[in-house]
Amino acid sequence: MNSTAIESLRGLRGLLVVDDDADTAALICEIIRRLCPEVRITWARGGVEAIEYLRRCAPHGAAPRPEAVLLDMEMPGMSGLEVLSALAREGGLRDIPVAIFTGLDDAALRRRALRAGACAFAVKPVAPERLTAVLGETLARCLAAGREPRP
Amino acid sequence: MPRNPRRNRIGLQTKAICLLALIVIGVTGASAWFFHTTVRTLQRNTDQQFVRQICQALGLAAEEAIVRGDKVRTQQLIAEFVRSYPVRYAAIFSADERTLATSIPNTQRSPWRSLVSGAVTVASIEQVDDDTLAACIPIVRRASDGGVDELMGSIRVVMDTSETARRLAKARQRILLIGAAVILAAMPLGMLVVGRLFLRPIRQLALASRDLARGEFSTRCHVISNDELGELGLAFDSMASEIARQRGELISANEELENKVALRTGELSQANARLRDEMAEKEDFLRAVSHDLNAPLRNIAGMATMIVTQWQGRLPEEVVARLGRIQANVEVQNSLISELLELSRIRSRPERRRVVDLESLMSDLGGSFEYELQARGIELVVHSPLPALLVEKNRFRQVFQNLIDNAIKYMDRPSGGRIEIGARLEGGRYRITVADNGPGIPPEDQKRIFHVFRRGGNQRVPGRGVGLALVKSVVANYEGRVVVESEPGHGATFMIELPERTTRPAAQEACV
Repeated sequence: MNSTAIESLRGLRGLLVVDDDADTAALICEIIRRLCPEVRITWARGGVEAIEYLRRCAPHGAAPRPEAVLLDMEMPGMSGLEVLSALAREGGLRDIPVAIFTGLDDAALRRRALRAGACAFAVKPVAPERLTAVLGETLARCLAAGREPRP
Repeated sequence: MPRNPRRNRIGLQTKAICLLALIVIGVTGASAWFFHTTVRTLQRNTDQQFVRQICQALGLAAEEAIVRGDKVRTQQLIAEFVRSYPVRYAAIFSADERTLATSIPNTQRSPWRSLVSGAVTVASIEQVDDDTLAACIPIVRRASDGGVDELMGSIRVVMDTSETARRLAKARQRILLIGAAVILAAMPLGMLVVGRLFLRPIRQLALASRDLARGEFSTRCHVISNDELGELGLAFDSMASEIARQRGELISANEELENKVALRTGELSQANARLRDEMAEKEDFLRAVSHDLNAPLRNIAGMATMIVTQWQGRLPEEVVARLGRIQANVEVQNSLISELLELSRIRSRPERRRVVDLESLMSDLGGSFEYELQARGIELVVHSPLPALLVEKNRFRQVFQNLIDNAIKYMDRPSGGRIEIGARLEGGRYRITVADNGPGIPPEDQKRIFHVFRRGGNQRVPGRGVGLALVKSVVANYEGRVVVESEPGHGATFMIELPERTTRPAAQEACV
């Protein structure tokens, strides 16, 4: 992970992690906390929960709005792709940068996710050191995309 | 060059009519000639008979006058004779050849007189030409009492037979006219007959043949006659029914075949559908493997790492060591899953083929194995030249990586180990060999090592039994094969055989 990426992650204040697996979510949280100590991470167990949470955030609600969303693909109930299209349909949620972080290595899925509005697509590696690197890079890419004005 | 059969055609009818006309003309001419000749001969005989009779009559009448020497009487008889018959010249001569009476005086020159001059003892009648008949008839007094007949003199006559000739010519003309009329009348009749008897059945046959050729197999020519054409018609009809029968058989055989094909196609598409379902199931299975098997693994590894980093320096060494073992096992499991995934994707997900130069691939691999090779004192020898192949680059890299890795792992010599790589093109097949001088592979293991999870007997060496299965699977995609030749104690040679036509870059490009 290069230094500019680390720098961009240091400024991260709020992040929403959507993953149905609690252990994975805990692991991701722990890794991200080490990368950017000041971040406030929210965990949503599924797509419905995630969208409900985002609706409660600013500008509609009181809670501070996360700067990025880390979204899993394979989840019971609402899949990652469905969450992406639901976010795209809602005016207030459309401009939150969403990074896909999934265990599925599938080129077709990657294309569909990027077309549905994801700013990054990464496959979760098993090895912990790779996991840290990929997670950091993905988040940095996503934040960079989020700061650019959307077309 | 195809010729138009209708152009410049002389029809059978024309030919037959011409032939018929020729025959009729020939027959008519011949019969006219025969009739004319016969009639002329008959007419001449009649003329001669007539001349003989009138001359004898004249002789009888003149006999007494000749005996008396009465010239006036004889002259009178001649004059009467000339008046009565068509005579050019008539004369009565005495026995001693003196002229007693003549129609043309001796003082006058006449061509006729010479025709009948000369002594006469027997009667002679001669047709000089068509118009002229010369007759010399002796006048004989018959002895009444059995004595010798007495020659009294002779009668010389030149008859004009031009009337007879004219009549004959006229008759001949009539015959020819009648013949011509018969020919003219016979022409249409002949046409009718030829048309009825020959042309109609032939046309029927021609039409039926054309219909048959057009595919109207029920067509028949309906030629009914008691001759060769009738036979031809029958033969044609039986041929047509035979063709129709055979065609019917062909059609039914075809239908049967089509039914069978349809049946088989149905079965095949069912099998295909089943296969598709199975492929889809396999894909699902792969997703499950990659997602659901890896997720807990990832958590185990992550947790272990977190413990180690968070409690660094505060944990007993044994705990750290065991956590390290956990991580190592996760690593093994992870790469096993990756390899299994890769193995199952080889057939279902072909990669793009590109030109891979085996020599640069080998030097690349030699670089990545450099540490192990040096550490174990093994020499990697590449026998140039190696070909460039049109293959899936990453998978072929994997193939040779696995083969070299195996050779290194199983090498039991502390030094002097050799791995030799070579290639040759033989009979349209590339044979690429990876040979080592390691312990070799016992015969009973030589087949099973290519099956997944089946390893050789030497379990000392770490490995999972996927590498050679992967090699086999990749090579099979190119209609190639991999075989091993080995004698325990004398090393092992793995040979990859690839057909030139599936892997040669130029050949493939030429195909595209």
